[in-house]
Amino acid sequence: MSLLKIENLDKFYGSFKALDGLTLEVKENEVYGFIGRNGAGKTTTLNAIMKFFDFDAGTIYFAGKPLDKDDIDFKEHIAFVPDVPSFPEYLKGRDVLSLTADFVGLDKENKKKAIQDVIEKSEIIHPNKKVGQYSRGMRQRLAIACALLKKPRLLIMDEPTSALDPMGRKELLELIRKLKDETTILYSTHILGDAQSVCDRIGLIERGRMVLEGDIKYVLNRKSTNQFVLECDKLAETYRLFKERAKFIKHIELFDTHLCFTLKESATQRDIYALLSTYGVDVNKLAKMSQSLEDVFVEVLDENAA
Amino acid sequence: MKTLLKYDIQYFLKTPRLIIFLVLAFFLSALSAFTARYMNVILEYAMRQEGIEGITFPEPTTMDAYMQFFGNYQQIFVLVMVFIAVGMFTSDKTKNHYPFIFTHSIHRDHYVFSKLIVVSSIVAISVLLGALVFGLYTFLLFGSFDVVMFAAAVLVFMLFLLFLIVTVAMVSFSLKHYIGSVTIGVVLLFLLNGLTVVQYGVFVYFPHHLLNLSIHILEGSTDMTTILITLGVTMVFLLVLLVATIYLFRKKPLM
Repeated sequence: MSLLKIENLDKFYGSFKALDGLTLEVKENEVYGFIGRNGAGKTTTLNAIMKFFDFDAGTIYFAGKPLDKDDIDFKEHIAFVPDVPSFPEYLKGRDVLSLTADFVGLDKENKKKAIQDVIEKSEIIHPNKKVGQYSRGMRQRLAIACALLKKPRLLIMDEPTSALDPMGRKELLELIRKLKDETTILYSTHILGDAQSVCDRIGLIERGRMVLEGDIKYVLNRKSTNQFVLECDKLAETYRLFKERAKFIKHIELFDTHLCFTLKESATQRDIYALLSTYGVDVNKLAKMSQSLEDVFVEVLDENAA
Repeated sequence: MKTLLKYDIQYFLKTPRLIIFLVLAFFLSALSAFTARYMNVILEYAMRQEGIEGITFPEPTTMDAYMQFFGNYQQIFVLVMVFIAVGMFTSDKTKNHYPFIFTHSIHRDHYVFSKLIVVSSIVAISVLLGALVFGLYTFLLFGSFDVVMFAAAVLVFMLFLLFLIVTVAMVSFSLKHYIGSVTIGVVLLFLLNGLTVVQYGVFVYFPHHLLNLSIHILEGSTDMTTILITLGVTMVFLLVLLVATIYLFRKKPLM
């Protein structure tokens, strides 16, 4: 079931069309990776969902219900972590969480415990320090803690790892994996490795339009790479054999432990097996190389530009 | 709304802004009474030092003290109030706190009301405290103090402050930057002060005339009809400004 659905969303900044008929669907209990290069329209889309401004055309549905222009009740079920979180610097981290708990409507009895829980979960080391003394990474953690306090049905994160050091990034991705069971996550990023490691589905936005959307496995395999890795005992001989006899191979490279080759478009995996069995080569491993999200990203954007 | 009020009160309590208001009110009030009481003595002393003899100044009265009080508040307190109020109205925008607030199901009207209520209350508390201090010092230094008339004059002055707060709120919520908002706020303030010299036609009932009205009430040189019409006209202005502020803020993109 789709939790968030966007249909034909348009947004103009003056004469510049930031969103151009954007359509997107986030299903319940998934991590949806919203990817695209800088300026593609990711943050504009997220701000439109949060009703930080009016959009020019299109409809946003939350839990099956179209959101009216003045609708704000849906925000009770959505938490938002902005790319650069900012809090009043005169407040302590704990004060910010206390205010958030009040905004959320937690009662006095549960408030203290809920705050302590999110402090531990988000690993905020100095909750009693003023926010003005927090690093950007710590502010990011505080923003996540605020979001978790809400126990949202949908957690929207706008490039949450961009300010974090490698350890912080790793921990955050770990946290997202843990949260997968508790909530639906719409995760915007241009760090494709992060998206590939945590997302169930992805949507690729370019110039305000969705150019690719689907299950991460589908996206990675949407175009067969026709690239294979072969591990066998007699590597050098097999390499020569392929060079001389295999007419179905476009390109081949010999490495210390394996061979890498690309098949011609008309060839299939059967041709490889046939050749190998004819010449009695013992195969340890033959596997198709999968594309990385980065490959897909570049490929789709190239297609789109063409 | 309750949480928004708490958030806005913290803006004053956890920063030096509340202290600034209270200290300024105390200082101006005490200074007004002392200046009025001893200005003639100071001037006579200064002239004697310069070799000018024979000029005597009349004994000051409580009216001199009242004039000094409203003069100081109009020139100094109001200016500080504009700076601090604009700062509060624009801080969430300039410091990018909107996502922290509007991620929650918070109505924009409540947001505006909360800011107005908190600023107006802090200003009212400061002025009332200042009036109390002033009343006490005036009574001690002059031996008399007209509580009723002074209270009426202070209430009229506070209505002018409220009018000014709502005006700068409208400007602040419409513009993007602190500097632009505060510049327009200060220009408006000087304009309103300047307009007090316009004493004809319907202008005498416009909100800026509240500044004169406070003094006229203490002098006894105005009538109840003028007071009521000016108050009524001010209320209409307030209502229009409030509606305009809310309308503009509803339309404003938060990012």
